[in-house]
Amino acid sequence: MPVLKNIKAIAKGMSITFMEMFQPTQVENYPDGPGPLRGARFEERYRGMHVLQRDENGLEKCVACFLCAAACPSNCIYIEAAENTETNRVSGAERYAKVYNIDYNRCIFCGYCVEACPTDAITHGHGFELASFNASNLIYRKEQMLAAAPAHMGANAVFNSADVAGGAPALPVQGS
Amino acid sequence: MPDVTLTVDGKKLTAPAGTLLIEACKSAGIEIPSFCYYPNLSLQGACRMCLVKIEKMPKLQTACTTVVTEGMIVTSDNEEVRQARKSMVELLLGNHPLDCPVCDAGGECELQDMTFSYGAAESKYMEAKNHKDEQQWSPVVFFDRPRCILCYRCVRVCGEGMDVWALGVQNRGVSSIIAPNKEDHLECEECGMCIDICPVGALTSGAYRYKTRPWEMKHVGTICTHCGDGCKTTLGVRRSDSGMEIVRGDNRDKSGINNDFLCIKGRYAFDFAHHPDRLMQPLIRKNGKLTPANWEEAFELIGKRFAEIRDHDGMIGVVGSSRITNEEAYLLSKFARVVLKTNNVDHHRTADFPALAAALSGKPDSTATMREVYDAPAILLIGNNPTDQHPLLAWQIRNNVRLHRSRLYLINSQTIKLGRQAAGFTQIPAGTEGKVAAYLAGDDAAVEAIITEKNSRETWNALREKLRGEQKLVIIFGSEIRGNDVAVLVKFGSGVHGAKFVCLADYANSRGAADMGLYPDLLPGYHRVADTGKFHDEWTSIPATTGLTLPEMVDAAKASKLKALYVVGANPIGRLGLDPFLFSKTFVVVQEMFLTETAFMADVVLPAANAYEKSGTFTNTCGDLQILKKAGEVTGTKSDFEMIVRIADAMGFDVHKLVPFGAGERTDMGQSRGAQSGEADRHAVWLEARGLEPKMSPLEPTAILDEIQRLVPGYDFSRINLLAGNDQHTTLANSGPGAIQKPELIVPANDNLFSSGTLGRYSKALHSVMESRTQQTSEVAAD
Amino acid sequence: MSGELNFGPYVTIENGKKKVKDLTYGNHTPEGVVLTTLDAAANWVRKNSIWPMTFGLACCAIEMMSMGASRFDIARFGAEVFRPSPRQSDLIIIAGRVSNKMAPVIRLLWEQMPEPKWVISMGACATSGGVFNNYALVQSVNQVIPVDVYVPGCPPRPEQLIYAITLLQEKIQNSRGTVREVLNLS
Repeated sequence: MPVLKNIKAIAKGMSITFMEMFQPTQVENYPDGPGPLRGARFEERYRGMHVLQRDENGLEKCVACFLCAAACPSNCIYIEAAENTETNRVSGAERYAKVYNIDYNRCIFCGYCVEACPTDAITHGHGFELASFNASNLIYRKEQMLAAAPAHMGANAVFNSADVAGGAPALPVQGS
Repeated sequence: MPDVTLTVDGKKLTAPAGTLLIEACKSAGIEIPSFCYYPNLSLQGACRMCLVKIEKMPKLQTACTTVVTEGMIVTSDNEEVRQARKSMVELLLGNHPLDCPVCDAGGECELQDMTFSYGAAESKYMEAKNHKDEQQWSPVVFFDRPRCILCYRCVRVCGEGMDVWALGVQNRGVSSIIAPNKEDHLECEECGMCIDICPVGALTSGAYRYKTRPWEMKHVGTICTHCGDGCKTTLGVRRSDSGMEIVRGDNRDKSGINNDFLCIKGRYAFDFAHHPDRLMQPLIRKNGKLTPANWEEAFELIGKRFAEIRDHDGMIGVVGSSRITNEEAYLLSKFARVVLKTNNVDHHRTADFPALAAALSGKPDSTATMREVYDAPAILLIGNNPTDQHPLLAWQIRNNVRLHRSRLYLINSQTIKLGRQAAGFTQIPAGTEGKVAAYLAGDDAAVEAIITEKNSRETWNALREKLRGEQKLVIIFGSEIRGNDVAVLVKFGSGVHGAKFVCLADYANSRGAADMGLYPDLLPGYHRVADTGKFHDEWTSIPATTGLTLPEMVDAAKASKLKALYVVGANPIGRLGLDPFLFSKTFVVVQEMFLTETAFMADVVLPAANAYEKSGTFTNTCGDLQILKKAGEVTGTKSDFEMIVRIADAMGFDVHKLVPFGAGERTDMGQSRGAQSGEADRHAVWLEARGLEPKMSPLEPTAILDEIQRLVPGYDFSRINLLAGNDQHTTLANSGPGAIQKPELIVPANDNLFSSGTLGRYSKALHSVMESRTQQTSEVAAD
Repeated sequence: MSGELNFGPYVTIENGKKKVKDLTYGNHTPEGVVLTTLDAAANWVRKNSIWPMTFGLACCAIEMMSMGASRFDIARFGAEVFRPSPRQSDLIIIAGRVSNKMAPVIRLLWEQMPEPKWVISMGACATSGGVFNNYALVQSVNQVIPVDVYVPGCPPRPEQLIYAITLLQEKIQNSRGTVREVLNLS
């Protein structure tokens, strides 16, 4: 009976569909999922937007050695260095990056900068929602990439080495 | 010296006897590493990096102190040698901080290179490194003690090379440290040679430190714009907010006439270019106030007023500069004669080149190059103080005496520092340099004026005889000898076999400005305006009457006769100390970098580029022609060359007749690359609008270089050599008849080591050095 | 904060970080209630049926395909219908480096698309040339066609592209004058 055969076949197929309805979904729920990643799932090693790290005193780890810029295959890192002074201490060494820009228009997230960094200052985070309506907004500045400062210090705080060594909360930026 | 033959790594080498093994190997292309060895400095044998195996010698020998001998068999690279060198690196790194990412020398550090070559980057020491804080020895010299590897190069270059002896070694053995001889600071000429020569980052420059890394910069070889010596300087430039910023000056590649020498001005005083007071927009006086305007407006106004005044036979004066390039000086000279139709052209004269040209006319090979000063067997220096005013010349003389045993005869009214090198120093009463020339030339009566207690008639006689007996004497004289005295001195020189002359002028292109005819009575090449000749044929319609000199222009302005004054890179009000309101009835146009006294009183001020920001050529005081390459850039400025052409165009003059562009050799002076890229495009817009062919721009100095080569005597140099960055000597032998002018028009700049006219006024580096000194500096000329 | 340069209005994103506000949408000429309501309805329809063109240029196209496949399932945004003809598509995703030879072709394809049409520049090469700063490549596709959204990455993750599509949806929803344009009134 061809009709019965057909019905049987359809029933078998629909039964698989019906069974699958109770299986967990395979589709990623981005952008409606929970958490900061909004349902996106990444491996730990995923190379997203850069994060400029701070050391245990909250000072910037970057010493403006330009090695990341030298290693960058797409020339997307622009740095201007400046010297730390007693009143304006930004990084742990003699020098800090006054300007640190990454041009995400060109960046290929290859991780060479992270590999080249002698102080482990630049790392890849998992930031991925970078798309923009305007290409010039894709040039990220140091302030946007810097890791959040320890709570008692305030974002982008300028530190006084003596105070930090004495365990006191560091001085915030003048005028902030 | 006879040659000896030796074998290095199985290769047969021949070298003159007395050559050091390290040098013999280098010339054969075998590299032997070293820290402490430096050519032309005394031998130290401190670093032990140059150890080589020499047969029949029980231990490894230092190649830098071993002299080659006949039949010597050397192995420069085997396991034993490599092991020894590796141990040396390991020991040097024992207390050397591994802060390469922060260190200024990172990327151009010799210790880094050696560690890469020989290994030993991992230390066997467990102990913490001995840290010492960084010291500041002077505003421009910083010392980081743990980084020092005790090669003693700085000590030797400061003492032997500069004859300053400001650095020394304290303590002995492992506790040796390099330290200034004056406790905690340097009392020296701040030349920065110690920083330059330091193989590691122990000595760092206050102007450059922590700003960038070596590989981040573009390096542009150009000519220093400060004194008249024409040192080649390699400027490190990098991008900045307002164009290209110069961050470093040095000459590590040892090219050019100065080898690796630079004085404080060449090494640090480029920062005037980024002074906040720098003009970056044309200013036009409206209702008595200088207000910012755009370029078109400014050129239109200048063109209209200049044309009006010229057509109504009003008097126009042109003041040129000693810091503009040859091309610009030539163009300005031509512009005044051909477009403004006036001979009222002058510049700040600091030496009497017309008199020298007149005296040397028809005498080939009678001017010395800067290189010859280093090689000459004997030097006679009359007047001037090269240590202060011509640091390179002083370096050449000093090292000639030290290395070649040259005899230096010094005749000066003051005791100058070069006296320490002199074979004979003769002090004379001030202002009697002319008498010295006369006496040397054979006028025995002149000796009366120069006899002092110390120097009797016999002393003078002996000196004259000695000088007459010299061969290849280089006679160097300052601005004290001028007018007729120059001819007299040349007369003495013609009696000495192979004598050559150097006339010392104070600014970077004083010689060029003179050669290019920024004189009221002389055309380029010292041709008189009154004589008919090739310039009359080429330029057509040159006014035949002699024009006004600068003081005469001032007098004309006082009498309200001077209707317009065109000042290109000069500051006559400041320099001559004139009444600022003197030119109130005159239409004054000033091309300047800063609002100087003259610019402040001008009707139109055009922001000019300096010598580091344009291409062209400079002729140094000896007559060595060298190429300038554009390094820095400040938005909103234009080169003087471009501005002159644009003004001529605004006056309705056919630019083709001023600048013969579109014909002749097409050369790329670097506009298609690096800092200069885009230049040609920007010119093209202006050209297109005027229906001119964009093949070669009239705003490009090369356009007029053909004409200079063709018309100016002595400038028939090889273009390919010039473009390759070599120095070429220009002679005065075929110049026009020259002229004896009023000697009082020559005013020496009186700059010292730490001042440089307007440029020095706006240089923070020079200021910081001046402020750190207690000594009072002399009053300085203003441009 | 005194040390910080001001580049315009900021919006705060996660972790208290700030980012420059991107742009304003369309022109803000006042319109009546009827038109704006109709606009919103038309925009809602449009934003939920963005049909991309089946068009890939290089490695980025693999990630673009991945976006269309089951794990990321672009059908959730009504954009799963990859059309093989420009005349049937609303969106062109420049997924890969644009060679000088390809540039006129891209221009032609874009011109063949009917209005309204949008462009996503996907990846570093399309946005700026990326590492290939050389003679062969157009340094940014926006020299050839106008780009609505730039997606950095090499190649961007499908999530990053989905984020770009949500940005585009936002842009479409906020656009003004849709109905007037459709009726040729503007």
